[in-house]
Amino acid sequence: MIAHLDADCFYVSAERVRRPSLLHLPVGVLGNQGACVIAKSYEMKAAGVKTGVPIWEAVKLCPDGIYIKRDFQWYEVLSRMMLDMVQSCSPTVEYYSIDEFFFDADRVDPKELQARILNTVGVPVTVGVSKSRTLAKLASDAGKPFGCRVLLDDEEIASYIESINVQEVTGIASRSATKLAENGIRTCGEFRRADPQLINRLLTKRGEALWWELHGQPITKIATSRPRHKAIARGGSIGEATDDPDIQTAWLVRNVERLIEAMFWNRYLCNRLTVAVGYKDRSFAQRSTLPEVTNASEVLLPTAKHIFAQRPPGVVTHIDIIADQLALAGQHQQSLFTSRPRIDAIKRAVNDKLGRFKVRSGETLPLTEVYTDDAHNHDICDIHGKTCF
Amino acid sequence: MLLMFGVSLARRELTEALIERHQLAARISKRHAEADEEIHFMDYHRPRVLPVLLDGQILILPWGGWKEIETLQGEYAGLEGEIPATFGFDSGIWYAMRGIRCCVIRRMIYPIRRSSTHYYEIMTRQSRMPLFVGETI
Repeated sequence: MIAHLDADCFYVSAERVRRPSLLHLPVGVLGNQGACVIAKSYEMKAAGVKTGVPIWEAVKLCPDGIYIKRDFQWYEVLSRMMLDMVQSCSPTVEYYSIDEFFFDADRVDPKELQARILNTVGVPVTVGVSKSRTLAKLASDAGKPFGCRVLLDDEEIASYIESINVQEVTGIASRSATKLAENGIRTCGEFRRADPQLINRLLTKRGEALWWELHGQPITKIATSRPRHKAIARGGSIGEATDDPDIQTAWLVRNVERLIEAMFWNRYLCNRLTVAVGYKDRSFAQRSTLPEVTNASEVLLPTAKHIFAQRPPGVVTHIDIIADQLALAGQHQQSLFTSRPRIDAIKRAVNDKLGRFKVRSGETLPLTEVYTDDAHNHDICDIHGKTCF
Repeated sequence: MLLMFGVSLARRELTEALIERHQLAARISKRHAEADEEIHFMDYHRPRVLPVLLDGQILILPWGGWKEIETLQGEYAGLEGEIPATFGFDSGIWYAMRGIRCCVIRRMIYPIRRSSTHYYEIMTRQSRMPLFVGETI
């Protein structure tokens, strides 16, 4: 048996743990820039607010709603507490996302686990149990909120998933759904009755795996560790769009420093670096092959700056740094002619003791406000070990 | 400039005597049937008052206006206080918080404000924001 454990409106529930005054209220968690609702309570959902809507639209629908800034550092604390509890009762656990876990449920009482997490962590969760992870996920969706749904009987499974839209299945996004719809397949029932070879032709072997999973055959295993990345990136919106070159460079350097941290944590070195710059009306991207496979600031920062200097002038909105052609540290060809990089080790030694970003490049000084707000300094991508986003 | 500003405090934080003495009963409301009762202190309420935590006790005092953090000099040393609040309200947006720093001068409360963070400015479209207790919004 495979179980899927999913925290109920996790970000809101996490805020309620430390701010009980939010209980029973319509609550919206806002993204980093304060513009969009990235998570909402069931009370806010009932008022018609959807995830992703701008705050000014949410306020029209739910004027009494309480809005709160997201804090991934706090959410990670609770997420890891939940992970520890799941791992304490199952030998095989996948840390799928910050608020979702798959685990081998053969010897687990899901209701007892659910109650223990609520009492210890303070977060309500829903558990779905079935024969495959795809079915377990559909079962937990059916049990929300704070439910426990077990789908093991074949007839019950067939009856339950019959009319569910195929897009509810993780792995079938809108493009796949369009291909399926063109072949008369819109529901999970129709998907199950389809020829698996047709599904393979339409959605490749990954789609066919879903077909078997919906028939109760566990094809996709529980991943107890994260598969290797093909590429690793840091960046995104720079907050207030700007044409100030010092502020733009500060964001570039900040993102490179964060990328180097992430590479070190994952034990990656890279052979290629891409800098992508977003403007209001256009974009720029350029990549460069590095002189050696590395994760050292001494190589990556000058390379990123060199690429960045080629960008067209203008008001920048986004800066992303992407490292690919990755190798694992210790498994790469080392150069005889380069000196051992030192600055990153020194930074890590200090920051491990005093806190993240306590030592950072002086070029990031224009972003002092960003660094003084802890909420900016911990993003969802900084939560390591998840197999999904 | 802050327009339509206010704070909300859980009703249980105030004694019945305090509520009666300052005629705050009309300001009590609930956002949801199962939620706690709140007392609102909005800038359009008359009389314009705010709660303040002084020497471990909550008092209700007149709201004298704002103090800009850039203008605060040494003469205000020892006059700092804290406005206890669960939620703040600015330009139509209610948000969670823990309180606002203020000065208490001749039994009048002056919340302190500073230039808005980018986040606060996007959220409320205001260029000035209160100086919050223990957090940056």
